[in-house]
Amino acid sequence: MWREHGSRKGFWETSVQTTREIPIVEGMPELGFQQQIIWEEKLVLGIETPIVGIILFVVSMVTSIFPFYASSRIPKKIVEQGKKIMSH
Amino acid sequence: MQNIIPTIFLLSGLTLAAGPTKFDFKDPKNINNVIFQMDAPLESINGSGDGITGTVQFDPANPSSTKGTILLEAASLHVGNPILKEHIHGTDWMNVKKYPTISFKLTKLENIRKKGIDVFADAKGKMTIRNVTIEMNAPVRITYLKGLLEKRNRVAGDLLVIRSKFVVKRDDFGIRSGEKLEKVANKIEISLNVAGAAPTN
Repeated sequence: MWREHGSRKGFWETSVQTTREIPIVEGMPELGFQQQIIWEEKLVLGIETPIVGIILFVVSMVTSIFPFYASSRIPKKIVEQGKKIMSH
Repeated sequence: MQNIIPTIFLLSGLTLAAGPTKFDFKDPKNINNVIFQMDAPLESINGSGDGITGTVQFDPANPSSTKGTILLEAASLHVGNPILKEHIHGTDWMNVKKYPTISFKLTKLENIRKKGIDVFADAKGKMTIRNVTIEMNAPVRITYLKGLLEKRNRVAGDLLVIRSKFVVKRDDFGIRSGEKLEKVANKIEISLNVAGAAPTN
């Protein structure tokens, strides 16, 4: 999505600047042009998109791996505690 | 003797008619604008301002005497990001409520070169931002279009187009000097693109 929106280094924008070349005098382009700036309402995603994506990826990885890690650790603790009780 | 008196009146009338013409830069077509760009290492900010007013006196026979003031309503400054716009308008940056106007007072033109219908020159004047005024020189291109206001605004008169590109530093105007340079560049590239009207009565 970020690449589709232009891979901007800046943050998101809700309006986009477009420039139109308007002849200073209508029908006489030889006299030169004036740039008219028009702001169109449009959402453009910025650098926050890949940053948020990476954070969400890390969070989702941690939350999905942690249960497996925890489940593999808890039985060992219980066994060790059981061994201690038995030895006493 | 009978011919001398009307000739004197005619000459005095011509003398009164000659001289600078006052151009008003409040554009009813809303095309006049200022474009600004700031290239910081982390972010490039583009924006514009369209609240332009002011008057300039221009004499095609004596361009060096050109003087006047171009004003920009600070609240008309616009950028694409709404939070950034709020910050720019806020008290830490432009403080548009306390300092509602940015102005450039043109005192004279120097180093004048004529090329076709255009006059190229260095505009000497005083730039005021946030109530801080500094002397500035800006290269300008001025196009005087006699009698062509009618074709643009449907009103008889003359047109004056002023174009300029120059740089201001926010340090010079005390706009958070030396702060946030990685996100907001110190150098602000400004492009002025305005047409003024002098309707004939």
